[in-house]
Amino acid sequence: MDDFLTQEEFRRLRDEFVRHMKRIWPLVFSVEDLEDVFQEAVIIYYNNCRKAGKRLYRGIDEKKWIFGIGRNLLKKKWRGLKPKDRAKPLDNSLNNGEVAPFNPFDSEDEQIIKKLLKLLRALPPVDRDIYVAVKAHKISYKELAKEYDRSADGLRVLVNRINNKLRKELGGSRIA
Amino acid sequence: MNSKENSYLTYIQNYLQGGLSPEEEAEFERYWEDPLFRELYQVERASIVAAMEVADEEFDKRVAETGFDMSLTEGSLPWDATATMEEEKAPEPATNGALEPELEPALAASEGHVVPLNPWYRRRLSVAVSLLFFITASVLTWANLTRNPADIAQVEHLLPVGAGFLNEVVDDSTKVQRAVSLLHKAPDKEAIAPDVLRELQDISDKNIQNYALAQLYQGHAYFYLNKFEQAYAKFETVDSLYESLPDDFDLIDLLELRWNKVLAASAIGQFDEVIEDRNYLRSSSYEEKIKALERKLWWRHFVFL
Repeated sequence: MDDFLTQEEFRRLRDEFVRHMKRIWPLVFSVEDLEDVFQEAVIIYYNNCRKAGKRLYRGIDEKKWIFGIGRNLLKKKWRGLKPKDRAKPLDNSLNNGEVAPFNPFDSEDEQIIKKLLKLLRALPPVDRDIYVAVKAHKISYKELAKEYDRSADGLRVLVNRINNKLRKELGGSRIA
Repeated sequence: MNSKENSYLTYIQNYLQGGLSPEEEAEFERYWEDPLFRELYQVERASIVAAMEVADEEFDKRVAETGFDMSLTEGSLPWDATATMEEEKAPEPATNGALEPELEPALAASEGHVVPLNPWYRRRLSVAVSLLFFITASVLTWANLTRNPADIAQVEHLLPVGAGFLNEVVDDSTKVQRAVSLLHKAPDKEAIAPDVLRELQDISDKNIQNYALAQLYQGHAYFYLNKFEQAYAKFETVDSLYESLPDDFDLIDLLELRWNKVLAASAIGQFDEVIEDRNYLRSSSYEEKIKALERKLWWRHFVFL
C-alpha cells in the first residue's frame, strides 16, 4: 500500500489536531501527549488500511476517522487519570494565561453539555452533520462546500444560526 | 446579539481553534475579567465538546458497522516508503536487501546495520536531551544561588549602620535579611514598597544600601524590581528619567536594579566588584557613568543569559 497519507499531510493533520485538543484539555495534556496520541491514532488507521489492502478513506472521511480515533484514545487516557489530575473547575480562572481544563463529569459544564447534546440530537441530520464536522472535526467550510454541494458562505451562516439557536435555548439568563 | 458579544464570539472561536497570534492570545487574560466573556467561552467550549460527543457516537456506530479494529496499535508508519521530504528519506542499508519498515533500530544495530532513527525515536531522544539540558541548567542555577553565604560573611561587618524602617526591625548581623523577610510577609506589598525603597535610599552608607539592594535581589523580591521597571518604562530616555527624579535619588541604583535583575542570584557574590564599579563611576560625569554602567551591565546580562 504505497499511497497512504504523506508525511506532509500527516504533519498538517497532527498540528490541527493538537491545536484543537489543546484548548479542550489545556492543563491535562501537553503538546507531546497530544502528538503521541495522534501518532497512535494514525498507526491504528494505517494498520486497518494494510489489513484491508487499500487506503480506506480519503478527504473529509479520512480526517473524520483519524480525529475520531484520536479523540477515542484521548478519552480513554483522560479517564485513566486520577480524578485529582483530571481537571480543576473552570472558575479556577487563569494559570499563566491558560484556562482550567474542561471537566465534563464534575461541574456545571456537565449540565450544559447534556442540554446541548439533547439540542444537537434534535437537529435535522444534515444540519447536525455539518455542525459536527465544523466543530468536532475542524473541517473547513470550503471542504464541506464541495462535499455537500453548497456554498461555503451558506454553510457558515447555517453553523452560526445553529450556534445562536443553541445559545438561546440554553437559557437567556446565562448570556447577558 | 450586540457587537461586543459578536467580537467576543469571534475571538473565542479563533482562540479555541488555535488561530490567534501570540499578541492576540495575550488579550485573553484581559477579556477573561468580563463575566460575559466567561459565559460565552464556557458555552462555546461546551458546544465543541457536545459536538465531539455526537461525532463520537457516530464514530462508534461506524466502527461497529465497518469492523474497524481499534486494537491494532502496534507497528510504525511507512514514512521511509512515502516520505516526501528529502531529509526524511532513509539511506540505503549497507548490505543488500531493504530493511523492513517495522524493524527496530536496536535490532538492526545488533546485526551490524546502521539505520537512522525513525521520527518516533528521534523525538524521544530530543525530549531526553532537552530534559538533560534543563536539569543541568537547574543545577547550575541552584549552585549559583547557594554559593553566597561566604560572600555574605565578608560584608557582614558593614551592617551596624541602618536607617528608618530598617533600623526598626534589625539589630544584628541578619538585619537586612529579616527586613526583607518581613517585607515579603507584609500583606499589602504595594503600599509598603515605595516606603521601603525610600528607606533604602536614605541609608547613608552606600555600601549598606548596596548590600540591602543585593539582599532584595537575593530574596527574589521581584515585586520591587518590577516597580522600578515600571517607573523606568514610563520614560523614553535616561535623561528624562533622571530629570524627573528627586535630587537625592541614586540613579545608579536604579540602573543596577534594572540591569541586575538577571544577575539577582549572584548579586552578593559580585559585591566587591559592584563597589569597584561604583567608585569608578562616581569619578566621572553622570552621563559617562550611565553609559559605562549600561555597557558593563549589558555585557554581563548578555553573558549570563
